[in-house]
Amino acid sequence: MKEDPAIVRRSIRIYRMLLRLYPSAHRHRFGPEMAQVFRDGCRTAHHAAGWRGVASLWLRLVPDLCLTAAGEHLAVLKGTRIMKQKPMLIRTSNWMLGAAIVAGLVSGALAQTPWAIVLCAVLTGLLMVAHALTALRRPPADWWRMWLVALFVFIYYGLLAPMWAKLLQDTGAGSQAWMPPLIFIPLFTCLAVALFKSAQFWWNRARPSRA
Amino acid sequence: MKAMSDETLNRHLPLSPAVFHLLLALAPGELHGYALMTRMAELSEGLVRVGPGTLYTAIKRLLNSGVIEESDQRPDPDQDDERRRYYRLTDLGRRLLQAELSRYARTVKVARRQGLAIEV
Repeated sequence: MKEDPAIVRRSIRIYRMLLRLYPSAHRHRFGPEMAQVFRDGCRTAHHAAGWRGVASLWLRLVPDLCLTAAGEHLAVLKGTRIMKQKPMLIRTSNWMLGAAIVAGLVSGALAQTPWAIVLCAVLTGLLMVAHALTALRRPPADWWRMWLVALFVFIYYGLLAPMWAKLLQDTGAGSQAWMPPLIFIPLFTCLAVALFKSAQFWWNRARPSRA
Repeated sequence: MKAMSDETLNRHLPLSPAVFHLLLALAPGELHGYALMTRMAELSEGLVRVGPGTLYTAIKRLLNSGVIEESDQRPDPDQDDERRRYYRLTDLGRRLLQAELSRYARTVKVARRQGLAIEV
Protein backbone atom coordinates (compact mmCIF):
# COMPACT_ATOMS: atom_id res chain seq x y z
CA MET A 1 0.00 0.00 0.00
CA LYS A 2 1.21 3.48 -0.92
CA GLU A 3 2.46 5.54 2.00
CA ASP A 4 0.64 8.77 2.92
CA PRO A 5 2.32 12.09 2.05
CA ALA A 6 4.16 13.81 4.92
CA ILE A 7 1.53 16.51 5.37
CA VAL A 8 -1.19 13.87 5.81
CA ARG A 9 0.91 11.83 8.25
CA ARG A 10 1.73 14.93 10.29
CA SER A 11 -1.90 16.07 10.28
CA ILE A 12 -3.06 12.68 11.54
CA ARG A 13 -0.46 12.77 14.32
CA ILE A 14 -1.54 16.29 15.37
CA TYR A 15 -5.22 15.35 15.27
CA ARG A 16 -4.56 12.30 17.49
CA MET A 17 -2.82 14.60 19.96
CA LEU A 18 -5.69 17.10 19.86
CA LEU A 19 -8.14 14.32 20.73
CA ARG A 20 -6.76 14.65 24.26
CA LEU A 21 -8.94 17.76 24.54
CA TYR A 22 -11.97 15.48 24.93
CA PRO A 23 -12.97 13.93 28.26
CA SER A 24 -11.27 10.55 28.71
CA ALA A 25 -14.48 8.47 28.51
CA HIS A 26 -15.44 10.05 25.17
CA ARG A 27 -11.88 9.70 23.89
CA HIS A 28 -11.63 6.04 24.81
CA ARG A 29 -14.95 5.17 23.23
CA PHE A 30 -14.81 7.29 20.06
CA GLY A 31 -11.17 8.49 19.77
CA PRO A 32 -9.92 5.73 17.44
CA GLU A 33 -12.98 6.11 15.18
CA MET A 34 -12.62 9.90 15.08
CA ALA A 35 -8.95 9.55 14.15
CA GLN A 36 -9.93 7.09 11.44
CA VAL A 37 -12.58 9.45 10.04
CA PHE A 38 -10.06 12.29 10.11
CA ARG A 39 -7.48 10.13 8.34
CA ASP A 40 -9.95 9.28 5.56
CA GLY A 41 -11.00 12.93 5.23
CA CYS A 42 -7.41 14.10 5.16
CA ARG A 43 -6.44 11.60 2.43
CA THR A 44 -9.45 12.61 0.32
CA ALA A 45 -8.72 16.34 0.79
CA HIS A 46 -5.06 15.87 -0.14
CA HIS A 47 -5.98 13.77 -3.15
CA ALA A 48 -8.41 16.46 -4.34
CA ALA A 49 -6.43 19.66 -3.71
CA GLY A 50 -3.01 18.87 -2.22
CA TRP A 51 -1.84 20.90 0.78
CA ARG A 52 -4.59 23.49 0.15
CA GLY A 53 -7.19 20.77 0.65
CA VAL A 54 -5.58 19.70 3.92
CA ALA A 55 -5.38 23.32 5.07
CA SER A 56 -9.06 23.92 4.31
CA LEU A 57 -9.93 20.70 6.19
CA TRP A 58 -8.06 21.98 9.24
CA LEU A 59 -9.84 25.33 9.00
CA ARG A 60 -13.17 23.51 9.21
CA LEU A 61 -12.08 21.05 11.87
CA VAL A 62 -10.50 23.31 14.47
CA PRO A 63 -13.76 25.08 15.48
CA ASP A 64 -15.56 21.69 15.34
CA LEU A 65 -12.98 20.15 17.65
CA CYS A 66 -12.88 23.04 20.14
CA LEU A 67 -16.65 23.44 20.37
CA THR A 68 -17.46 19.75 20.69
CA ALA A 69 -14.64 19.15 23.22
CA ALA A 70 -15.94 22.03 25.34
CA GLY A 71 -19.49 20.67 24.99
CA GLU A 72 -18.41 17.19 26.08
CA HIS A 73 -16.63 18.58 29.15
CA LEU A 74 -19.72 20.61 30.01
CA ALA A 75 -21.88 17.50 29.63
CA VAL A 76 -19.58 15.62 32.00
CA LEU A 77 -19.82 18.45 34.55
CA LYS A 78 -23.60 18.64 34.24
CA GLY A 79 -24.06 14.91 34.36
CA THR A 80 -21.85 14.11 37.28
CA ARG A 81 -19.95 16.57 39.41
CA ILE A 82 -22.34 19.48 39.76
CA MET A 83 -25.43 17.30 40.09
CA LYS A 84 -23.79 15.14 42.73
CA GLN A 85 -22.54 18.14 44.65
CA LYS A 86 -25.87 19.95 44.69
CA PRO A 87 -26.89 18.71 48.17
CA MET A 88 -23.46 19.74 49.41
CA LEU A 89 -23.93 23.22 47.91
CA ILE A 90 -27.27 23.52 49.69
CA ARG A 91 -25.70 22.38 52.96
CA THR A 92 -22.93 24.93 52.46
CA SER A 93 -25.46 27.69 51.83
CA ASN A 94 -27.24 26.75 55.09
CA TRP A 95 -23.96 26.99 56.99
CA MET A 96 -23.21 30.31 55.31
CA LEU A 97 -26.59 31.63 56.37
CA GLY A 98 -26.04 30.44 59.94
CA ALA A 99 -22.59 32.06 60.00
CA ALA A 100 -24.00 35.31 58.58
CA ILE A 101 -26.71 35.39 61.27
CA VAL A 102 -24.19 34.89 64.10
CA ALA A 103 -21.69 37.34 62.58
CA GLY A 104 -24.47 39.91 62.03
CA LEU A 105 -25.72 39.65 65.62
CA VAL A 106 -22.27 39.79 67.21
CA SER A 107 -20.95 42.65 65.08
CA GLY A 108 -24.24 44.55 65.42
CA ALA A 109 -24.15 44.24 69.22
CA LEU A 110 -20.48 45.27 69.38
CA ALA A 111 -20.88 48.31 67.09
CA GLN A 112 -19.88 51.37 69.07
CA THR A 113 -19.24 54.07 66.47
CA PRO A 114 -21.74 55.58 63.99
CA TRP A 115 -19.74 54.16 61.03
CA ALA A 116 -19.72 50.64 62.50
CA ILE A 117 -23.45 50.85 63.12
CA VAL A 118 -24.19 51.94 59.55
CA LEU A 119 -21.86 49.26 58.19
CA CYS A 120 -23.56 46.51 60.23
CA ALA A 121 -27.03 47.68 59.31
CA VAL A 122 -26.22 47.97 55.60
CA LEU A 123 -24.25 44.70 55.35
CA THR A 124 -26.78 42.60 57.22
CA GLY A 125 -29.61 44.18 55.24
CA LEU A 126 -27.91 43.50 51.90
CA LEU A 127 -27.09 39.93 52.92
CA MET A 128 -30.65 39.21 53.92
CA VAL A 129 -32.10 40.82 50.76
CA ALA A 130 -29.67 38.75 48.65
CA HIS A 131 -30.61 35.62 50.57
CA ALA A 132 -34.31 36.35 50.14
CA LEU A 133 -33.91 36.86 46.39
CA THR A 134 -31.88 33.66 45.91
CA ALA A 135 -34.51 31.82 47.98
CA LEU A 136 -36.96 32.52 45.16
CA ARG A 137 -35.18 29.78 43.20
CA ARG A 138 -35.20 27.25 46.03
CA PRO A 139 -37.80 24.47 46.16
CA PRO A 140 -41.19 25.63 47.54
CA ALA A 141 -40.80 23.06 50.37
CA ASP A 142 -38.18 25.39 51.83
CA TRP A 143 -40.85 28.02 52.63
CA TRP A 144 -40.18 27.79 56.37
CA ARG A 145 -36.58 28.92 55.87
CA MET A 146 -37.70 32.35 54.71
CA TRP A 147 -39.94 32.76 57.76
CA LEU A 148 -36.90 31.99 59.95
CA VAL A 149 -34.83 34.55 58.06
CA ALA A 150 -37.62 37.14 58.34
CA LEU A 151 -37.82 36.38 62.09
CA PHE A 152 -34.06 36.86 62.37
CA VAL A 153 -34.24 40.23 60.56
CA PHE A 154 -37.09 41.30 62.84
CA ILE A 155 -35.18 40.31 66.00
CA TYR A 156 -31.90 41.74 64.69
CA TYR A 157 -33.25 45.19 63.98
CA GLY A 158 -35.85 45.01 66.75
CA LEU A 159 -33.14 44.46 69.38
CA LEU A 160 -30.38 46.54 67.92
CA ALA A 161 -32.17 49.53 66.38
CA PRO A 162 -33.26 51.08 69.74
CA MET A 163 -29.76 50.50 71.11
CA TRP A 164 -28.17 52.06 68.02
CA ALA A 165 -30.57 55.02 68.14
CA LYS A 166 -29.65 55.70 71.77
CA LEU A 167 -25.95 55.36 71.05
CA LEU A 168 -26.16 57.74 68.10
CA GLN A 169 -28.12 60.24 70.21
CA ASP A 170 -25.58 60.03 73.06
CA THR A 171 -22.63 60.52 70.73
CA GLY A 172 -24.41 63.33 68.87
CA ALA A 173 -23.77 61.62 65.54
CA GLY A 174 -26.51 63.57 63.78
CA SER A 175 -29.65 62.53 61.93
CA GLN A 176 -30.98 59.01 62.25
CA ALA A 177 -33.24 59.42 59.20
CA TRP A 178 -31.35 56.65 57.34
CA MET A 179 -32.36 54.02 59.88
CA PRO A 180 -36.01 53.28 58.99
CA PRO A 181 -35.39 52.46 55.28
CA LEU A 182 -32.31 50.42 56.15
CA ILE A 183 -34.31 48.41 58.64
CA PHE A 184 -37.61 48.04 56.81
CA ILE A 185 -36.34 47.26 53.30
CA PRO A 186 -34.70 43.92 54.31
CA LEU A 187 -37.55 43.10 56.67
CA PHE A 188 -40.27 43.67 54.06
CA THR A 189 -38.28 41.83 51.36
CA CYS A 190 -37.87 38.77 53.59
CA LEU A 191 -41.53 38.86 54.61
CA ALA A 192 -42.68 39.17 50.98
CA VAL A 193 -40.48 36.24 49.87
CA ALA A 194 -41.62 34.15 52.86
CA LEU A 195 -45.26 34.81 51.94
CA PHE A 196 -44.60 34.03 48.27
CA LYS A 197 -42.78 30.74 49.00
CA SER A 198 -45.51 29.66 51.43
CA ALA A 199 -48.24 30.42 48.87
CA GLN A 200 -46.26 28.51 46.22
CA PHE A 201 -45.88 25.54 48.56
CA TRP A 202 -49.57 25.37 49.53
CA TRP A 203 -50.69 25.89 45.93
CA ASN A 204 -48.51 22.99 44.76
CA ARG A 205 -49.75 20.81 47.61
CA ALA A 206 -53.38 21.55 46.80
CA ARG A 207 -52.80 20.74 43.08
CA PRO A 208 -50.18 18.00 42.99
CA SER A 209 -50.47 17.54 39.21
CA ARG A 210 -49.05 21.04 38.76
CA ALA A 211 -46.15 20.51 41.13
CA MET B 1 -46.75 1.65 25.87
CA LYS B 2 -47.58 3.40 22.59
CA ALA B 3 -48.22 6.68 24.44
CA MET B 4 -44.85 6.31 26.08
CA SER B 5 -43.15 5.75 22.73
CA ASP B 6 -44.86 8.79 21.23
CA GLU B 7 -43.69 10.81 24.17
CA THR B 8 -40.14 9.60 23.53
CA LEU B 9 -40.45 10.58 19.88
CA ASN B 10 -41.77 14.04 20.65
CA ARG B 11 -38.95 14.62 23.09
CA HIS B 12 -36.48 14.33 20.20
CA LEU B 13 -38.38 16.57 17.77
CA PRO B 14 -37.61 18.81 15.95
CA LEU B 15 -34.29 17.30 14.90
CA SER B 16 -31.23 19.43 14.25
CA PRO B 17 -30.11 19.47 10.57
CA ALA B 18 -27.06 17.31 11.45
CA VAL B 19 -29.12 14.66 13.26
CA PHE B 20 -31.81 14.70 10.57
CA HIS B 21 -29.28 14.10 7.81
CA LEU B 22 -27.50 11.49 9.90
CA LEU B 23 -30.72 9.50 10.30
CA LEU B 24 -31.56 10.03 6.63
CA ALA B 25 -28.12 8.71 5.62
CA LEU B 26 -28.64 5.58 7.75
CA ALA B 27 -32.14 4.91 6.38
CA PRO B 28 -31.06 2.55 3.54
CA GLY B 29 -28.64 0.57 5.71
CA GLU B 30 -25.67 0.58 8.03
CA LEU B 31 -22.67 2.85 7.48
CA HIS B 32 -19.36 3.57 9.20
CA GLY B 33 -18.31 7.03 10.42
CA TYR B 34 -16.57 8.38 7.31
CA ALA B 35 -19.20 7.02 4.90
CA LEU B 36 -21.86 8.57 7.13
CA MET B 37 -20.13 11.94 7.03
CA THR B 38 -19.77 11.99 3.24
CA ARG B 39 -23.32 10.69 2.73
CA MET B 40 -24.68 13.47 4.95
CA ALA B 41 -22.85 16.06 2.83
CA GLU B 42 -24.20 14.47 -0.36
CA LEU B 43 -27.80 14.28 0.85
CA SER B 44 -27.77 17.91 1.95
CA GLU B 45 -26.06 18.99 -1.29
CA GLY B 46 -23.09 20.23 0.70
CA LEU B 47 -25.11 22.22 3.21
CA VAL B 48 -24.50 19.90 6.17
CA ARG B 49 -20.78 19.23 6.42
CA VAL B 50 -19.89 18.02 9.87
CA GLY B 51 -16.49 17.25 11.33
CA PRO B 52 -15.63 14.12 13.33
CA GLY B 53 -16.31 16.01 16.60
CA THR B 54 -19.89 16.92 15.73
CA LEU B 55 -20.48 13.53 14.12
CA TYR B 56 -19.42 11.48 17.13
CA THR B 57 -21.13 13.80 19.62
CA ALA B 58 -24.36 13.18 17.70
CA ILE B 59 -23.66 9.45 17.41
CA LYS B 60 -23.03 9.21 21.15
CA ARG B 61 -26.28 11.01 21.96
CA LEU B 62 -28.28 8.88 19.51
CA LEU B 63 -26.73 5.65 20.79
CA ASN B 64 -27.59 6.63 24.38
CA SER B 65 -31.18 7.38 23.47
CA GLY B 66 -31.60 4.17 21.47
CA VAL B 67 -32.18 5.90 18.13
CA ILE B 68 -29.25 4.16 16.45
CA GLU B 69 -27.21 1.09 17.38
CA GLU B 70 -23.87 -0.36 16.56
CA SER B 71 -23.94 -3.22 14.10
CA ASP B 72 -22.32 -6.49 15.13
CA GLN B 73 -21.10 -7.13 11.62
CA ARG B 74 -17.52 -6.32 10.78
CA PRO B 75 -16.33 -5.69 7.20
CA ASP B 76 -14.25 -8.19 5.33
CA PRO B 77 -10.61 -7.40 6.27
CA ASP B 78 -9.64 -7.61 2.60
CA GLN B 79 -12.27 -5.06 1.61
CA ASP B 80 -12.10 -2.57 4.47
CA ASP B 81 -10.47 -1.76 7.82
CA GLU B 82 -11.94 -4.32 10.22
CA ARG B 83 -11.63 -1.90 13.16
CA ARG B 84 -14.35 0.27 11.68
CA ARG B 85 -17.63 0.36 13.56
CA TYR B 86 -20.88 0.38 11.63
CA TYR B 87 -24.07 2.06 12.79
CA ARG B 88 -27.70 1.47 11.85
CA LEU B 89 -31.13 2.83 12.72
CA THR B 90 -33.19 1.13 15.42
CA ASP B 91 -36.95 0.82 15.17
CA LEU B 92 -37.26 3.96 17.28
CA GLY B 93 -34.84 5.77 14.97
CA ARG B 94 -36.85 4.80 11.91
CA ARG B 95 -40.07 6.04 13.51
CA LEU B 96 -38.33 9.23 14.60
CA LEU B 97 -37.21 9.90 11.04
CA GLN B 98 -40.75 9.22 9.78
CA ALA B 99 -42.16 11.62 12.38
CA GLU B 100 -39.72 14.36 11.36
CA LEU B 101 -40.48 13.84 7.66
CA SER B 102 -44.22 14.07 8.41
CA ARG B 103 -43.57 17.29 10.31
CA TYR B 104 -41.71 18.69 7.27
CA ALA B 105 -44.58 17.60 5.00
CA ARG B 106 -47.10 19.36 7.25
CA THR B 107 -44.93 22.50 7.23
CA VAL B 108 -44.78 22.48 3.44
CA LYS B 109 -48.57 22.09 3.30
CA VAL B 110 -49.02 25.06 5.64
CA ALA B 111 -46.57 27.15 3.60
CA ARG B 112 -48.52 26.33 0.42
CA ARG B 113 -51.75 27.38 2.09
CA GLN B 114 -50.02 30.67 2.91
CA GLY B 115 -49.51 31.19 -0.81
CA LEU B 116 -45.81 30.30 -0.97
CA ALA B 117 -44.68 28.49 -4.09
CA ILE B 118 -42.48 25.56 -3.10
CA GLU B 119 -40.71 23.35 -5.59
CA VAL B 120 -40.20 19.77 -4.44
